[in-house]
Amino acid sequence: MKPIASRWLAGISFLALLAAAPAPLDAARAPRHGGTLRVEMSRSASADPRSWRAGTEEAAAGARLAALLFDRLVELDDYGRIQPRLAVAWTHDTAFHLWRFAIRAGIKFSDGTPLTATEAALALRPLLAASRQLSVEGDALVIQSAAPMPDLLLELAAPPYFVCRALPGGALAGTGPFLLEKTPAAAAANVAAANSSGAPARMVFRANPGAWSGRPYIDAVEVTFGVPAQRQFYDLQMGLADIVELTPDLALRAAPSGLRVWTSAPLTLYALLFDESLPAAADPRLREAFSLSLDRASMAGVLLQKQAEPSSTLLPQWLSGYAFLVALETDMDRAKQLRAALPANFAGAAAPLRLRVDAPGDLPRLLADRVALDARQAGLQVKVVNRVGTSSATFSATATANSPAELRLVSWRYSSLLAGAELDSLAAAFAIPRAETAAGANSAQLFAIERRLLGERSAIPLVVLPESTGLSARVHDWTPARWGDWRLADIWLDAPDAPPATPAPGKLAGAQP
Amino acid sequence: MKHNFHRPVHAAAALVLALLAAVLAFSPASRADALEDAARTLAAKVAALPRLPVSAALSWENRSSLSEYQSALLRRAFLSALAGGRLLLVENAAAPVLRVTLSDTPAHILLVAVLQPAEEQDPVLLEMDRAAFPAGQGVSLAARIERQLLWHQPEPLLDGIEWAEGANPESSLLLLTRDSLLRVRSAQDGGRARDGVPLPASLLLPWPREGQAGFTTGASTLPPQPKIRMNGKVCGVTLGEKLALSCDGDAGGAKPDPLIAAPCSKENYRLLTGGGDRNETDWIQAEKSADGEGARLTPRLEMPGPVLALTARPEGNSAIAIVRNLLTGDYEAHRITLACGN
Repeated sequence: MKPIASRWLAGISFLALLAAAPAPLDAARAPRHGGTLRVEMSRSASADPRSWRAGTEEAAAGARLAALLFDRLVELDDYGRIQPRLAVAWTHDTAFHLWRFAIRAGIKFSDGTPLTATEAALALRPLLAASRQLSVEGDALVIQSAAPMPDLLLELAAPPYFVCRALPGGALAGTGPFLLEKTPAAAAANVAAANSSGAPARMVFRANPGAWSGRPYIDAVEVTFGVPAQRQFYDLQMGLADIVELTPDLALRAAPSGLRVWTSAPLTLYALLFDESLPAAADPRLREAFSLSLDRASMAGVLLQKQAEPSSTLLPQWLSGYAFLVALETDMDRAKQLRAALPANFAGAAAPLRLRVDAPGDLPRLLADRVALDARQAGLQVKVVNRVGTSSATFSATATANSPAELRLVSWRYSSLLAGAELDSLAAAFAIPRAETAAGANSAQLFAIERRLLGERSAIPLVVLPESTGLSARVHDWTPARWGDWRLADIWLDAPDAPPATPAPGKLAGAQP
Repeated sequence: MKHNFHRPVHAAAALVLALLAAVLAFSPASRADALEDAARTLAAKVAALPRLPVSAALSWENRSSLSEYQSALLRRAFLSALAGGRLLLVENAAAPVLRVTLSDTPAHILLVAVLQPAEEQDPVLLEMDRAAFPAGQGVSLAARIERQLLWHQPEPLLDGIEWAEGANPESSLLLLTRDSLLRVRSAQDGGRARDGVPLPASLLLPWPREGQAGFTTGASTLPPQPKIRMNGKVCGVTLGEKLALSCDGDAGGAKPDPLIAAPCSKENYRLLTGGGDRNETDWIQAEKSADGEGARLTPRLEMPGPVLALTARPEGNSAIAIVRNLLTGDYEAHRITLACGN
C-alpha cells in the first residue's frame, strides 16, 4: 500500500509543479499556429465601410469584421504613435492643406489586383467628406482640402477608412490578414436571411497566407451573429465560444464564474435630447430643471452596478482629455425652484413630457424609467414611450416615423480617435443646434465649444458604458486597443486537446513521480 | 514634415536610417527637453491669465499615462518656470488653488491648469503629441540575475545576440528585425557605430508574425559563426568591416536552450521565462538542474514587458533578452548576466 500512496503523492506533486513551474522561452512563448477562433456577436454586421452609419453599434461590429479583411493607410498604436500600414510615407505642406501618401509597393488585393494609389483613392472617395479632394500623382495618393487638416493621420487611423476594392456583384476585396470564405454580398444576404428567420448566421474568415503583414497564427475566425447575450455567456462557460460580447449584468457575473473578461474604455454614450420644436421643450428653464434633477451617479453606480460611468460631457475623458473639468450637476432644490417658475401646465400630470426610448435594448428603458423618477421628484411629470421598431436602429435623427416626444433617450457609439470629429459627427446625427464646428479645433477650443453646447442643454449626457468581452482560456496574446479594436490577427490559440496555459513537459526539474 | 517607413527588401537601407533617426528622436535627452518645454509653456500661459491672484496653492494630479517620475520632472520644471513671476505659490489652505492635471487622449498629452475658485476663469489646456512623451520604464534589479539595457527602438526586434569580433575586446550587438540585420559596435570616439544589411527576400515573404526567427550560435562551424534562422531557412552572418549574409540551407532542429554561466561557480544555468501573454510583463529566472536532484533557482528578475527572445552568446557568460516594453511600446535588447553573492 505504501508504494501506491507514494505514487499518489508524487503524482499530486507533479501536477502542482506542472502548474507553477517556469517555462523555457521557446516552449512557452512561441505562439502556436493553427486553430479556429470562435466569435459570437449579438447583432448582424456588414464589413462594408460604405454601409456604416456613424455612432451605431452595427458600425462598430462591422469595423471589427473589416479589420480582418482590409487595411487602413495608417493606424494608431497604444502609445499615441502613427504607424504605417498601406501608406509607407507621407508628407504635408506647412498649412496642412495637402497631404501626399506613398502607397506600399508589392501588395495585392485578394482578387489579385495590385494595390495602387488609384485604388486607394477609389476606396477612400466614398468615405471621406466631400470637401476633401483625392487625386493621384505618380505613385502617391494626394488628399487636399480648403480647410487645414492637421489631424488627417488620426482621422484616417480610425474606422471607416479601410481600403477595399469593390468587385462586380457587390463583393469587396481587401489586403488584410484574412479572407472571407463567402463573398461579403452573400454573407450579408445570409445575415439578413438569418435575422428574418431568427436563426444565427455565420461568417468564416480564413487566414490569408499571402498577407503582406504576415499570416495570422490562427487558421480561421468563425463569427456567429445574432446570438442572444445569455447564450453567449453560456457558450463561453461551456467552451463552445472563444470571444463573446458581455452585457453589463453578465460582465458582473463573469468574473466570479472564473471567466476572463476584458473591458474597454467607455465607448457608448447614453444621452437625452430635447426636441426644441415642441413648446414645452423649447423653454430653457425646463431643460435646466430637468438636467439638475438627474442623479447620474446613481444611474451608473446603482442601476448599472458600477459597470458604467456618470457622464457630464458628450465626449468621454479618454477621447477629449478634459471631461474631468465639467462637474456633474445635480441640484434638486434648484430644479424645484425652476419648475415652480414654469407655467403649471408644463410637464404636469395632465400633459406629461414624453420621453421616447430610441436606443435599442433593455438598458435604455431602465435608464429612461430612472430619468422619469428623478424628474418627478422635481415636479416634472414624464411618460416613457418606446420607439416604433427599435430592433436595429440605434437612433433616429428625425421623429417622422414616430409619435412626437419632447425628449428622446439615444445612444452613441464612439468610433473616431479625434475628439473634434466625433463631436461634429454626434451633433450632426442628432441635429443638436450649434453655432460652430469642432473639426480642427485644439483641445482648448474644443473644450469651449463643448461647454457652450452643453450650456444650451439641448443634449444632456447621462452615462458612458464600456464594452466587456469574455475570453476563453485558450486565447493568447489578446492585445486590443482601449478604444475597442480587437486585433484578432495577432492572437493564437492553445491546441484543442491541450489544457490551457500548460507548460510543456520535460522542462520540470525535481518532479519525479 | 516627412515620415518614411518603407519596409520591403529594396528599401531596407532606408529602414535602417529610419531606425537610427527614431533612436535619436526618442533619446532620453530629447524627452526631458520636451517635458521642460511643456512645463515652461504651461507656466507662461498660467502667468498670462487675466485676474491672476497674487498667490495660490498648487495641486498637482497625474491622470495620464506618464510615469510618476515624468510627472515629478514636469512639476519641478513648472515650479521653476513660475518662480519669480506674477504668481507666488504658497502652502496656505485659504489661498486660491492652482490645480494642474496631466491627462491624455489617444494621441495627445494634455496639461490642464485651473484656478479655483474658477469664477469666469477659463482653464489653460496645453496639448502635446503623446508619442513625444513615452511613459518611463520601471527598473527592478534582482540580487542574482542582472540586466543592462543595451538598445531600444520603436520598430520590432525579433532577436539579439552579442558576438566577439576577432581581437576586438568589445562585442558587437547583432539585432534581427523583420527585414534587416543590424550591428551596433563601440566606435573609436567612444560612441556607438551602427550598420546593417537587408535580409534576402527568401527569408521575408511572408514574414512570420512572431518568434520562429532568431539567432543560433552556429557552433558546428569553425570558426563559430552567428546564424539567422528565419522562415525555415538558415543564413550565416559574416562579420568584418561590412556585414554579409550567406543563405544556403534549411533550418533544422530546435533552437537550443539559453545557457549562461555563473562567474563564481562556472556552472551553467538555463534561463527561463514566465511564458505569459504578450500583454503581460514577464520575468527571467536562471535554473541550475542536476540529474536526479532538485533544481536550484535564482530569484526572478522582473522585465518591463513580455520576453520575446532569449539567446545566449557562445562564450556563455551572458545572453540577450528581447523585451517589448509595455510602458513605452519600444522593443528593447537587455544583456542578462548572473552575479554571485549579495
